[in-house]
Amino acid sequence: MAGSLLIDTDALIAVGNTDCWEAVFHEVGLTTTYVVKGELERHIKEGKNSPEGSPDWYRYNGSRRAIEGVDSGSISLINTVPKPHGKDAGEESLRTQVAQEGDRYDAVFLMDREGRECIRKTADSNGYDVKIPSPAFPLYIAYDNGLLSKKEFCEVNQEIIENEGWTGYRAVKVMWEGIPVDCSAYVEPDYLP
Amino acid sequence: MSEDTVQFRSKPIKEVFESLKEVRIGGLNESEVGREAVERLIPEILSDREKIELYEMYEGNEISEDAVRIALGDDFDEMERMIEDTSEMAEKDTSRYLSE
Repeated sequence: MAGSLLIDTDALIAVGNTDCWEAVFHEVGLTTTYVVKGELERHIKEGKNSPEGSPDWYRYNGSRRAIEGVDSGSISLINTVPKPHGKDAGEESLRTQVAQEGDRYDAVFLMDREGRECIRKTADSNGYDVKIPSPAFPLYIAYDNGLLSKKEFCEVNQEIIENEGWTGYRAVKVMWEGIPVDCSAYVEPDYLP
Repeated sequence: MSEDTVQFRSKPIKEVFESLKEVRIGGLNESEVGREAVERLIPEILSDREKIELYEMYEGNEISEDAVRIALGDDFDEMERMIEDTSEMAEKDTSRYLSE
């Protein structure tokens, strides 16, 4: 049986700001927590009137599309106990979930490096084999199942790297490596590993 | 093996070492302190471009894993694991992850 795919607020927002968000949020089965949903709703409320292109708007735009995925039933929600609060509550709720029910999950998607390390440690110390792949993987699932063309998949990855302001070698590597698609025909060399 | 010595002790660093000898119980192994300091600082002072090049040299078997691990610091292990995880996930039949 396939395990679920867990995704955090930032990874939802990153996908939500690409042109291919519908292929992921309507077609790929993702799981997140009610705490993450709460964060998305807060971003929507806080960013609603912000100027287009600003960081608040970016969070608003990605969040409202992710909520659409929740409403369509493609993104399912789970409850976590205890319910964390504060700045990293969303991420913490994923960590709690991995600690308590890690065997339910095949993979977790996070944009933030510290978050990835933290969840990895939690999975390891609880003896769960939970993968932490590239944040591009949900898009790869869409591509691999014919929902995105190769060109779309490649361009959308570049879009995420640009949107996130990822310029470091590590970020670019982390985004692409291990994904068995040659994007060199569609992506500028600066954005490839 | 050649006996290359890197001279990194400026006058104030020498002074620190001299004073530390007095302070530290059990004496001071200057080489050990120097080695530790250099190893820790290398990932901080290398530019991204240099790191990419070193990583590529590692991929091309031009430098050892130990060397690239020092150059990249904690990034190295995180990156390696993430690449491994992504490859393993990509080998699966991903249609199982589509929503019903």
